[in-house]
Amino acid sequence: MNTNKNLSVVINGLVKENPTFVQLLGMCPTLAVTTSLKNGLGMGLSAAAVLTASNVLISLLRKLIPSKVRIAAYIVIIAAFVTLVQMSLNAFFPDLASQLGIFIPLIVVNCIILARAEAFASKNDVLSSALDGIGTGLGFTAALCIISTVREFFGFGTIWGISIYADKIAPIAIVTMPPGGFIVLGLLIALINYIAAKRKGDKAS
Amino acid sequence: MSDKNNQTEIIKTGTILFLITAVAAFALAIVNSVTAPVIEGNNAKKQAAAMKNVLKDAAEFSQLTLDSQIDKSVSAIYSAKNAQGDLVGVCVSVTSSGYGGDIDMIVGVSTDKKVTGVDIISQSETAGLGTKAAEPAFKDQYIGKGKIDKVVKSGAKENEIDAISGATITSKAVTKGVNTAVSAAEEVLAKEALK
Amino acid sequence: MKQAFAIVLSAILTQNFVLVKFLGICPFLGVSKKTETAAGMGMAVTFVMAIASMITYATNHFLLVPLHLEYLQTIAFILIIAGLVQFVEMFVQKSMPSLYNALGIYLPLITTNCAVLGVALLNVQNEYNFIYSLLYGTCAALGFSLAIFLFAGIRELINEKDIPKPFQGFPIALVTAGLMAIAFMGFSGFSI
Repeated sequence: MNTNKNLSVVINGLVKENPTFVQLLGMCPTLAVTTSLKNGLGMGLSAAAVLTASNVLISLLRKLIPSKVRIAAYIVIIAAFVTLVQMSLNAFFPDLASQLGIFIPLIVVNCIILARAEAFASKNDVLSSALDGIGTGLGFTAALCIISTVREFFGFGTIWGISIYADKIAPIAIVTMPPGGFIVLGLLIALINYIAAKRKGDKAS
Repeated sequence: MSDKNNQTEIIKTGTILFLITAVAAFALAIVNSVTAPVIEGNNAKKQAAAMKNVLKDAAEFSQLTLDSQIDKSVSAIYSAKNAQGDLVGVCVSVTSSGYGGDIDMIVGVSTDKKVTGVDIISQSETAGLGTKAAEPAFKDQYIGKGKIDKVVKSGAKENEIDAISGATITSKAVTKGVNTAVSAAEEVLAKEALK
Repeated sequence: MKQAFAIVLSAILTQNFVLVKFLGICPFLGVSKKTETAAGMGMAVTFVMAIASMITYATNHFLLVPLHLEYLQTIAFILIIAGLVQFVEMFVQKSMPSLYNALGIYLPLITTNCAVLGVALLNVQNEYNFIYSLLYGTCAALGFSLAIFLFAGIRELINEKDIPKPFQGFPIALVTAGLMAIAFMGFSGFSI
């Protein structure tokens, strides 16, 4: 029974309330770094790590933090974890760090993290907060991976850097440029809306 | 009474916030002391590998002081000596402004003022087009040449460079950087020769 | 002088914060249904970004760098921005009530606008001095305002049109933004 509930917290963040496709939060990194699957996965996992860690700590401290200054306290905690991730990436994955660039420190202002801190971690116990962080974080990662796979495939003709058709047909370079980011995300959300509407229609009839 | 309550509450709130910040700063200081040397080592390794890459004969590099005549886009010049201790050329770190931002590169120049290699350290050019500047097919064109007169679409003659198709601005920017590096190298080499 | 001109042109057009650098996308998509609200958001962001550029520059230059505490940049900057937004809100509310009525609801949203933290970090990364930091911050915010205002104008027109159901709402807005980004790519032809 209990594990069921825990599992549903994770699944909720991953699918039903997917932060990117359903709630449309954290759009900046979603558009900016999804030019290749490697970058998308790196960004997604970095944000998921920060989200889970900050959710746990905020949940632990939820009775201690005065409600008046809670947002400031959350921001400090999140910024500290982001800096930790930034330092570790710079030290151990320098290539990824230089690809993601300014968008690593900008995880601080990723609305997903502050939103989960305020809406979930400040009200729930440590375990569910951790699971919520993992679920939402993986939902974000999954969304980033989907977008970046599409963009890398059409824009570079590769997936994970492995050439699929790049030598035979020239890929559509604009997909990896800024306009491509907007358009691919728009088309993907439209596709999801279409599938969701169709499923609803099937159920109704 | 309520005033006093208010005051203690403000003090309590402030103390907690201060404690959180202090703990966060302290934790970061510890992690920084671990990662900072690793990051520095990475950068130094990358720089050394890049220099070795553009000037293959060199075994030992030493940084030279820049004088005022040298173009401002040059950030560092290293003189390169081979294993016997003879001067084989210089490596010039130069920044050129491309299509998407600055392009940082290292250019190796031999003692007879010919380019021995070009390496792009960092760039933010258009993925799939401008980023091709880092590929040998483009950057190896400079090897053995001196200053470049012109960037052409195709069929480059002596002292000309074939542009990357779809990335003329990037090609011109890299060429400008190489030319600046060669000029800087000429100045430095002239001085080294006098010594 | 030439560099100043290059900063102005690139911050507003060729390296537009929203359409090229992908900074400040949340308010760009969230507060762009009407041109009036978009203009209000643009003004509020410009105000905060100009001040934030100055204060973060001073903090970094006179406090963090001399003390070798560069690794606290992210924490320090975001706290400054959060505090600044709160302060500006209180100040504007007391001294300029009419401006507060126009901007009030947008001010708290600015803390999590990544364009503000972004510009503070980019000023450091680009090693701009005080004047250039201020110039870059202001112009980047003007670029943001330009993009959000034009975008809101287009969205007002789109809303009256018959759009296929799956595309209603955000998808069509994103595709529109994509087309705008293509138009802004045209400015990249200017190289200085």
